[in-house]
Amino acid sequence: MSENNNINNNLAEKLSVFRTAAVLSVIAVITVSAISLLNLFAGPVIERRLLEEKREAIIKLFRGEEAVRYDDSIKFEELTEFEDLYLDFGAPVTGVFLVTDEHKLGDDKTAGYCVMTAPRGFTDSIIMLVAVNSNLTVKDTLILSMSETVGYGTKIDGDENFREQFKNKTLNIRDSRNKITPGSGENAVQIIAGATVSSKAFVRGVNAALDIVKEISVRTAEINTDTDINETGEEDNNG
Amino acid sequence: MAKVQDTSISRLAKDGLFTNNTLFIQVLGACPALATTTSAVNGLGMGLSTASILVFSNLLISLLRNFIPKQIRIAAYIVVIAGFVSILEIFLKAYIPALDKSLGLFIPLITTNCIILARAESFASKNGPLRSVLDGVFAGAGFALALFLLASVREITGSGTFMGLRIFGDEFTLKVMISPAGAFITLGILTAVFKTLTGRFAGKNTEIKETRQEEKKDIKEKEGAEN
Repeated sequence: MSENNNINNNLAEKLSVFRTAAVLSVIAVITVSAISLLNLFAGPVIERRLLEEKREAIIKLFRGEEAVRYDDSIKFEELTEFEDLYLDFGAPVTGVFLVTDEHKLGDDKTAGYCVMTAPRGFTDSIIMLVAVNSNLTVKDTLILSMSETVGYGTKIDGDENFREQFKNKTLNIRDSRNKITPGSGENAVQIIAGATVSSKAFVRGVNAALDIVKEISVRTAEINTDTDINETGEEDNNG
Repeated sequence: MAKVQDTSISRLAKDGLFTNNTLFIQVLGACPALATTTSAVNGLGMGLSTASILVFSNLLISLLRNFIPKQIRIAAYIVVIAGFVSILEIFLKAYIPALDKSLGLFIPLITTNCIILARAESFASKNGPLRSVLDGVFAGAGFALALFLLASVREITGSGTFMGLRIFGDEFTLKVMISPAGAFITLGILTAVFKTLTGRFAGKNTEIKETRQEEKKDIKEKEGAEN
């Protein structure tokens, strides 16, 4: 009799474990299905929004804020073949875009490059875009998102004079705490008092953008030279 | 005998909004409250996001309360809450990206917000769906109002703006108010004020009730003596 009871108890215990696992699994499956279903509808919306945000940001950098509404001459494509370079510089690079201008005269429609970098700020990464001219000078900068301390770190976005300093600067921008005097370095920028960490992060971001564009230019030139040599070789062989 | 919970709507409203306010009285959910209340818009956004999760998780947990085995209830609640938080995160990314960007990491962290788990464990798992939803609405509204209040004070004093609109110049602002230290100071002051006010009201009500009971007792005694 007691043996039967023991068997029944064991069976009940096993069933209870099975039920517990089954209930938790069912809840997890339903939850995941609901998320997947929402993602099915919201996923493309998020992708479209991100692409639109990029487009607006790039037009803003190359043409100004007003042009966002009407200008469709600016086109861009991501240069994914250089992804191996993304972590090689002072700040992580998250994307490089070749920007072309349809209104530009001549065969070469290149307007410049736009680099997305994410330097580490005071609290988190600062996601920023740097527009770089083909001659390796900064065209403009734009902060896409950041979580810096409001009133302090956020000055790197709010203070127009700070971002203005970067325009036309070239490789290896130095940061200076003091007022920049003529001759102390043409390629120096003055950081914001009270936002030292954020300002320096911003400088790192711009430098990383310039460095990667330089590297891309070198690689592209090498590829073009190789192609020219190959083509010349083939022509000689044919001749 | 088990203590019977008073779950009347007026009681739920009073508890959620004032006498048991999750932030000012129970001091729950202080982490997002301190971190995201740098502006009134952020505070309101975070408050409403948490409130919506609270309402939906309370509803589902209440509906499932008889099916979830006791041993795994916490794990089940967390799966449910995490599911709703993921849904909210996707929704905000798709339709309110500005809020998603400004709240950032604190949206997924709602999963670990102790207010939601506390309401699930102490209320939704023991009450019907309607009452659980109402509990979620009032507790969530109380948290959202507290966050909005905290964020408004910090934004006005620290940035000189309210909801992004400039009220006074930068030279009159107290920068410390928008720093983490300012968050602690403001929360401390507001908690003290809130506790004093709710304590006074509660005290007054108790005094009135006690006086009325004493009056009734006297009347009964007098009537008894006359008879």
